[in-house]
Amino acid sequence: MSENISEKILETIKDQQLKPKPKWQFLLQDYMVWLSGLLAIMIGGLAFAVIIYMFVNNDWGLYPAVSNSLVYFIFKTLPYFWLIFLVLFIIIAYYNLKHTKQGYKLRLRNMVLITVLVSVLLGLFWYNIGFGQVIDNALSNKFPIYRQFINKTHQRALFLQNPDEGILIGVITEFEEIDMASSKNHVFTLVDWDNKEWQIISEPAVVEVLSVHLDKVDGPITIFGERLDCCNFKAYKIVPFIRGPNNMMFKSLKMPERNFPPMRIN
Amino acid sequence: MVDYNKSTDEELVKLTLEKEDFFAYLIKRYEKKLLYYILRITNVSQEEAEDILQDSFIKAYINLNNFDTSLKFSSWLYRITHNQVISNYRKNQARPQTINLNTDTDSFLNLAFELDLDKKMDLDDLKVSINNLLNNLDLKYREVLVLKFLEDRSYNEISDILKKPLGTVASLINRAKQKLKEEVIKSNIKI
Repeated sequence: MSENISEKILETIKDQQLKPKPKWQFLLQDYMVWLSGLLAIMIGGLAFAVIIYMFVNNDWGLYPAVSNSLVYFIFKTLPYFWLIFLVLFIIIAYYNLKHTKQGYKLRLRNMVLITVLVSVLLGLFWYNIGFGQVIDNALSNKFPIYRQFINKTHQRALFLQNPDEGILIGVITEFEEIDMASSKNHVFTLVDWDNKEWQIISEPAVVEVLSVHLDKVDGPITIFGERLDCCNFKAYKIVPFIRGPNNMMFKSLKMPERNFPPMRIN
Repeated sequence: MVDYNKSTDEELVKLTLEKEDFFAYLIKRYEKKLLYYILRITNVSQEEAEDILQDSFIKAYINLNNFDTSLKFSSWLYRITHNQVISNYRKNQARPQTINLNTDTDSFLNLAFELDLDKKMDLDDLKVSINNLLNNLDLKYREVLVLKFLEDRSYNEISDILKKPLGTVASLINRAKQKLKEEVIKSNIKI
């Protein structure tokens, strides 16, 4: 054996003109694997941001109207699309990190734990700067199928809006402050979710959560009050329809496109 | 006159990258060990084992720039050989030949001690017994036992060769020993 093998190998190398692959090829491969892994973690983080956003806007207070069981309500309203998306990208991240030079040294559960933890932390960060809603809105605007089946804003609004029961959801198109018998009231025009125009009268109403005036609100709002007639409504409470991570972000975000008049930009 | 036989593996790798003829020193240093390793974990003939060995060295040569200096060169080379064996094993799984251990006495006694086999057994009988026992195991158990007890590799080296976490290697070795002991009982070998 001995004498022949090394000769045979060197002969093969010379005959086939084999050369060692250049180092840059391996470096490029390593960088691509790392990049793919990190990208997958980041996308997982974005998915988690959307999950948090949907969780926060899940109308938890309304679950008795939907079901007797909180567990049933949770299963009914879980954002399955985004959960599957998150799991998929965690798997991709794990696969890539496992194939880095030192990746094999970490056990499966530790690798998955690290990937999940980093995605969750990134997700919390991105949710806090408003990316959860931005992504949900952008996908709703771009993909009708997403808006129809996954975006919850439309479904929530359809479910909740009931002028006869004193609930309106829509956007403010015109705003005015008027004096009415020695007290200032707000009078504004609201286009609701069915595209109907309403005149809303409210006494100095406190907009829950927000510290901005109604004339500066450019997202959809929910009004709890009383229907006066076909087109007039008295508001007792006004809250943002979409809850964000902080009041300031709510102001700058748009809702998904529908047949609404153009948003007022202040 | 430089005696390249005394150069370290890393020095020889550097020299090979400049001129392929230096690769002969690395081949001569590892060919016997790797050939025995291939024969111990597979059931191929001597000829086939030499083919696998050649393919492994050629692969090592082509990927020489990918040698991770944080590893021992021997671990890296064993890893390439292991992968080549797996690749060959998947193609030829059906062949029912017996593995040929071809190992020194101390290594056999190591393994015999682990299995609580009677060390007063005739050495040839002991070798045949262990041969047969290992032959009945799955490749994943056989390879860790061969690396640990017959190749005398550390846990870290086995982890680097098989690209598995240390904890997994330790679990595999424990399970492999368990499986081997079950084979001992099944085959009624004197303990």
